[in-house]
Amino acid sequence: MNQAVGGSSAPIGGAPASGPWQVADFPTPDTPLLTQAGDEVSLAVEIDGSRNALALVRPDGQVVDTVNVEPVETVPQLWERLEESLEVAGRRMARHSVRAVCSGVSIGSGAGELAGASSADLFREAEALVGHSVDAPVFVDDVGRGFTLAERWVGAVEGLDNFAAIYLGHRVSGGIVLNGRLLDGALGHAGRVGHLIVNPEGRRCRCGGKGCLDTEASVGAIEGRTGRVLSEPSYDLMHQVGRMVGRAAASLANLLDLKVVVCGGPVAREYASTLFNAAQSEMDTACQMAFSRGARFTSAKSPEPAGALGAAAIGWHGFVRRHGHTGFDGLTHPGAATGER
Amino acid sequence: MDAVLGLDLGGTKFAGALVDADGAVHAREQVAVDHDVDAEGVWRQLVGLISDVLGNPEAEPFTVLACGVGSAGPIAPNVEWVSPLNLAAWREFPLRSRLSDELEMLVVGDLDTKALAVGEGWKGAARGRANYLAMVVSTGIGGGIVLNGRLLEGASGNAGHIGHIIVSPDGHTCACGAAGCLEAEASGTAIANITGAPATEANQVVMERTGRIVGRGVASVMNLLELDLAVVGGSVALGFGQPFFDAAQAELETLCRFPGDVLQPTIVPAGLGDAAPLVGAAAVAWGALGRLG
Repeated sequence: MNQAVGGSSAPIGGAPASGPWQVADFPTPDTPLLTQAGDEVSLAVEIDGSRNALALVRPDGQVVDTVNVEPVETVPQLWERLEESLEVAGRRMARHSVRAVCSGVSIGSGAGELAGASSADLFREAEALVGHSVDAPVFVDDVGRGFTLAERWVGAVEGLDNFAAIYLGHRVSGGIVLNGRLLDGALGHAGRVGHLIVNPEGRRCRCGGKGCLDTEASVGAIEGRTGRVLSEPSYDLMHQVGRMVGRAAASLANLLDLKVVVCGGPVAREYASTLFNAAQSEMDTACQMAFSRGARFTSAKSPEPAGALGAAAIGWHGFVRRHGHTGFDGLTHPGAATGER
Repeated sequence: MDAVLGLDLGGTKFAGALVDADGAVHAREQVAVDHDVDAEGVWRQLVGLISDVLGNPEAEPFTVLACGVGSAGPIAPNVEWVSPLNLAAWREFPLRSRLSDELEMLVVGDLDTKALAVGEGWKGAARGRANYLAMVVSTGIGGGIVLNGRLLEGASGNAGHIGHIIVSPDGHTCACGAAGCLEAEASGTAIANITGAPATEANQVVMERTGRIVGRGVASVMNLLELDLAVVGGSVALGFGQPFFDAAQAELETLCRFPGDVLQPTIVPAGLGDAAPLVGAAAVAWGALGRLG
């Protein structure tokens, strides 16, 4: 079908629209978000089942301190250990003379593997528990969307207004930023890139569908079908996974008018350049629209662990939105956010 | 009574009408585009069409507040220029400024498929919905996506191009150059290429295959963006009718699953019928006036 060409993301009609169809704009902060003291942090809570951690993270991405959470096997154990660690985090904040003005919780797919876990309960109970321990608003989201925000905040796509992110973890997740906004969707989890259909003749997916990217490129799927750990791949496997991820990335670029797809997570890290080269080659073949030609498949840059920084990003993003700012720009460019302190 | 002038500009025909604030269409006119003329010749055809609309007795009671355009692409944002693919005489034709000079009123516009999405959300099958995909399956395949009440734009205004998601990795070569795009498998052009007969002569098997393929593409987009409604217009989809929609719905139910089944994906025909492009163009103008309701 035909395409639009050009630069700006004008509202429909380019006029100062005021109806529900208006495209997001980026108001500069008109209310002070942060104090002069610069002592605010986001209390980041990463929940991923086997690996759980807390971190205190400033608005510029600097990690003030981290608190490990003891390994757990069940959901009740998780809440018990987390509560203990939140107490430790409180003491660390006092020691560092910082205070949490927001908290972000990243729920990774590993959390779903704990005995007794259900996704909705994890989100709800994590919010309640953390909210009980910290006098600040708590924002909970999944690891892929946190990864997306972190990459825009301090990663490979810092400050970019249009991109998709793919996180190849125990499951495949991700997020989409379009015209400066993280897309939410009806349930608040838009950007479910793991359920793009990349292999119509492929395997049944855990979601109930078939041929989803998750069945081709998640840690769980790869280890399940090869019977080997992720760190022992064949060249053909790495290449094949890369092609599937690239196919999904190409569909994203063509569908959503994107020039960049950023990819990270354990599979991306292990398969490295073989995966990235195969994915880029697939994108080069399939991105043929004028607006998508030359789209890049690029490696994540935000420091590991992605979950902790993603959790901090979830917190700051929610904080900025809560104060009426529609984008994440203020924190992507700290000067803009803090200039009116 | 207030109305806006809606213009639907395709490669083969131009259509125009007044559309009132309730979405009712008045003084509808259209003209087959003469391709044997230069850019100014095409412009004169458009001006003639506008004169016909405004001179139509049905137009008399109305005060025309603005003009909304839905154009085949490529276009620049807000139809600053248009280069409809199948209208060679217009290449980067400065449509918005020419219309603005001619009409002396606010002129706004967008891609025809995005305008359709706005129109279907205003008065069509997606009325009152905050999350949906609107798409056209005709000679080509395109669409527009509304998420959390906002029409997705993208960096250059092209978000919603569902015709170029990959649905059949080892499939047919697309006009864009890639292989296996939805447009290469299920558009009218693709059906003619694959079957050797125009889509108007398609049998039940072809109609159902087309529905399944479209359903697969829609399922991917719904999974990605948490959508539960797809509104489909265009001559192929509407012409194929029930066999197409039944097959597409069955594919959605197989491929599109949300945790807890809280969303029930549905694919339905466009609600505005053949008036959808004009109402969509008008909706862009009503939106710019802040009166989409």
